[in-house]
Amino acid sequence: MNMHVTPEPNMYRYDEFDRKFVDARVEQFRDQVARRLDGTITEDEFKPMRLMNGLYHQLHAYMLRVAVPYGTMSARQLNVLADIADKYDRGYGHWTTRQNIQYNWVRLEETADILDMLAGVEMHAIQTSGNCIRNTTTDPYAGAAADELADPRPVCELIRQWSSLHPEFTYLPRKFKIAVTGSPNDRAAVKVHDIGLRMHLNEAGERGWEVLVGGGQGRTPMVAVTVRDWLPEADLLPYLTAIMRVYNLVGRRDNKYKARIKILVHEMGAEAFSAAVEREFAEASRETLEVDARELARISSYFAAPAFETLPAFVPEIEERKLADRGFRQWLTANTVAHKVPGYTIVNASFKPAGGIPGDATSEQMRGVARLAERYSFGEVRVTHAQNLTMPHVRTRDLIEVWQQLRDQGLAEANIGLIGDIISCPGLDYCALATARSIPVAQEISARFADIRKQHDVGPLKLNISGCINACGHHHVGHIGILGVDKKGKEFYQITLGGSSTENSSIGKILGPGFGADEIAGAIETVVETYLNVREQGEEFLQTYRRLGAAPFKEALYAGN
Amino acid sequence: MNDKTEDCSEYVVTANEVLSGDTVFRNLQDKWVRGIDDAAVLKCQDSGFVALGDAQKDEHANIVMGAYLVEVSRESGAIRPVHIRERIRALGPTVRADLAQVAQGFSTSEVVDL
Amino acid sequence: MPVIENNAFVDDVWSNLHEGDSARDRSMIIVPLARLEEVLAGWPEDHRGLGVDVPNDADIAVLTPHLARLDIVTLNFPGFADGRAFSQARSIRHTEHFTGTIRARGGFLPDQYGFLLQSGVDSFEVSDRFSLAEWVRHAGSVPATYQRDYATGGLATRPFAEAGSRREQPSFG
Ligand code: HEM
Ligand code: SF4
Repeated sequence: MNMHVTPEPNMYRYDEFDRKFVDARVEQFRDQVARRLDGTITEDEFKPMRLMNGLYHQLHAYMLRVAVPYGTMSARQLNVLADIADKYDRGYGHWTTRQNIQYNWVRLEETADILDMLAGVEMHAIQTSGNCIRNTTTDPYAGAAADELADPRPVCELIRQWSSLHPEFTYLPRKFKIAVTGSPNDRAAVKVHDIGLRMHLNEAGERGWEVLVGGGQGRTPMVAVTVRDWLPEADLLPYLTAIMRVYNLVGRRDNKYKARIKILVHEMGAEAFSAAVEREFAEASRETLEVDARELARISSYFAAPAFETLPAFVPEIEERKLADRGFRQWLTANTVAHKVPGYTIVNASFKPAGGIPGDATSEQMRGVARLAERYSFGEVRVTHAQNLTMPHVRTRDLIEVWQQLRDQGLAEANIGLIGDIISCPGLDYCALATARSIPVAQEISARFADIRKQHDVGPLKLNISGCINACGHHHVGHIGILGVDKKGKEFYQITLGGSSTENSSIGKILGPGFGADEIAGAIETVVETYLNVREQGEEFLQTYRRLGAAPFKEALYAGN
Repeated sequence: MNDKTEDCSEYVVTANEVLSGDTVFRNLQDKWVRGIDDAAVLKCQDSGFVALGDAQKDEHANIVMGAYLVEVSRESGAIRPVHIRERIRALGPTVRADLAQVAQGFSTSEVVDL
Repeated sequence: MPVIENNAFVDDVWSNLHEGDSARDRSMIIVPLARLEEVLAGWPEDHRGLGVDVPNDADIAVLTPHLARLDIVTLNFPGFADGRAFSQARSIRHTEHFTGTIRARGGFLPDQYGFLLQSGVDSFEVSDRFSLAEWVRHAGSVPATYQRDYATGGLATRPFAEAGSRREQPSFG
């Protein structure tokens, strides 16, 4: 009688076809592993095959990157991610900046079983690595944010399907990342992706897409250029196909570091590149357009808004508690976001405890958030590109309960968007490509800023750390960025200032000589203190930097040296 | 303390096991072991290369992958890689003492802290 | 080298015109792209049996005016990771509607066989490293494709759903 029914959120669900596809892909991988082990194929040949199923080999072990398509998952799926962490890994996972989860300790012989388990809840690791089209990312608040024009996820799912095992575009010059935003306030970093798509509405209320190409981070960070101001939605896939074809045919393959599309756009010039795309697009087959429109309609039907209740926007208990309880007030300010439906609120769970490892989640924490999402958020969870989880649809009147329960799990640190909410890549503690550790630096800085009052006083500040020039930790677009380098066998850290990944995207500039591992946290404190001294009333860190430039920070850090 | 000449450092042979992906070291019996403290220490690069050549047979047999030489030194009796990257690779992540090789029983002495 | 077509070994009826060879009085030859115009100039209009070998950095546009007179185009894989020939094949087959043979040569792997077929390749010059069965088995190792207009024989595509059939109405919320 008392049967517990897990609520299923309105999100894309596999049909027979999707299921058959993903199952076959798992079996194909199992077969590839068997051929690697019996010597039919070499490690050099196997490597791209395993990468296309998200399997890396890192510093200590194999690492599996599982896609959370456009960051949306159900509580049921999150529970399975927790089960995988316990059964096949060491009880935890790591949220990445591209809305994926990474497991650090999987075994080759068990990977196909993990993929099977994922397939059981309509998930996979397809194209989470390799020189192919990666997991499409979007606004973690999609379908919920008050400021969005429309939910971008149907288009993301359309792109997911279009890009999955695309016969023509799976052996590209280099990896290829697409990000989509349905809000004018870009939370998906579309300007630092290979392709960024921004939704616009015309006067008739029809959706169209601004297409940006050639952004990226890594060793040559670039902000994308707009190649189309307005692309009718129906033209989306043929246009993406045209971009991919131009890139696949003429993108550089002579040098791995020059193989991203940003280099091609840069070397050809945006105009010539765009002309080449338009030429290809003009020849593209239009017979598929109508198909895409029908597909999009089919997909969209899955993303219907959940059954929101009609609720008052103003909830007296919440307002009272806000006045009475500073901890709650701080949490509300930093960790919740306005919802488009009155009486609902978007809630972030912070995976950034002071002194903790940014983005690491234990299986217990995953289950904890899954339980809360089932109870309070229509069973729906999001992964954010700042390595946190989001419950998109919480009734405002439930906020006190949700806050308390998150606090019990250590997930209510009131620091979202503040200096404690550090983005950090795994760095040398896990990554084979790293030149320095990044996690310990993040830990030391967040410990120094453990005082939440101080963090709120400092205000919005994005601090991002990468353990090498590949920039997985987004240091180029942090308001403050830290890059770990190797200097004669010692870890050394460079500071960049002024980066941003929003609609006003910019690449941070190196401030000056770097700092040793024992100096970097102190240097960051100096930067923050300097900002507090020179800021004007109500001015955020980035605004101060844009107004004054690097001079006061340089002065504070290097004067006397 | 340090009796090695400039061009004659000490080395161990390391690789990763194909099935598990784990970091492994070659011991005196030409077997692969998980703890660096059980590794065979080879004096001078020349003998290192001989041992490496032997180890590479196991690469062809698909037992291990990516075998190479790691320069080590002795620290209070323990065998420790000289370069920080190799130290972390041999000893485990520095930010999870519970997952370090010491905690797993594959390594002696507490040198997780670099 | 063995050639696979329609999932079976076939006799290779083509030979390559090497540097300095004359094309006069020959037939069933594949000429390097660089010599195509020269050979075509001396090739009778109604004469068949000519093919071209296209480097993978060549612009397919240069082939367009000549495709009607060609029976085979060979595309190249310097290594399996270099995927330019997939797009070349697709352009020639789909955009240019070439109906002759498109042959892949070089270092591609059985795991790419299905994608090659889907991109428009229908002839495969292979080494004896892998058996015929190994190649053929990969034609459908994932027997379904999302790309309807790349589907080749036997591959499933999603059946058309009635728009909005799952829930009341498509809605973007
Ligand atoms: C630990 C294994 C990882 C490896 C081997 C790895 C490798 C790389 C490499 C080589 C690049 C540079 C690409 C280029 O410039 O062409 C890169 C970029 C990037 N990675 Fe990672 N990465 C790893 C983990 C992560 C993690 C944990 C995250 C998220 C926290 C991440 C997110 C990104 C992002 C956002 C970029 C920059 C965007 C771009 O330009 O592609 N990666 N990664
Ligand atoms: S930025 Fe460098 S160190 Fe960090 S995860 Fe990426 S490749 Fe590894």
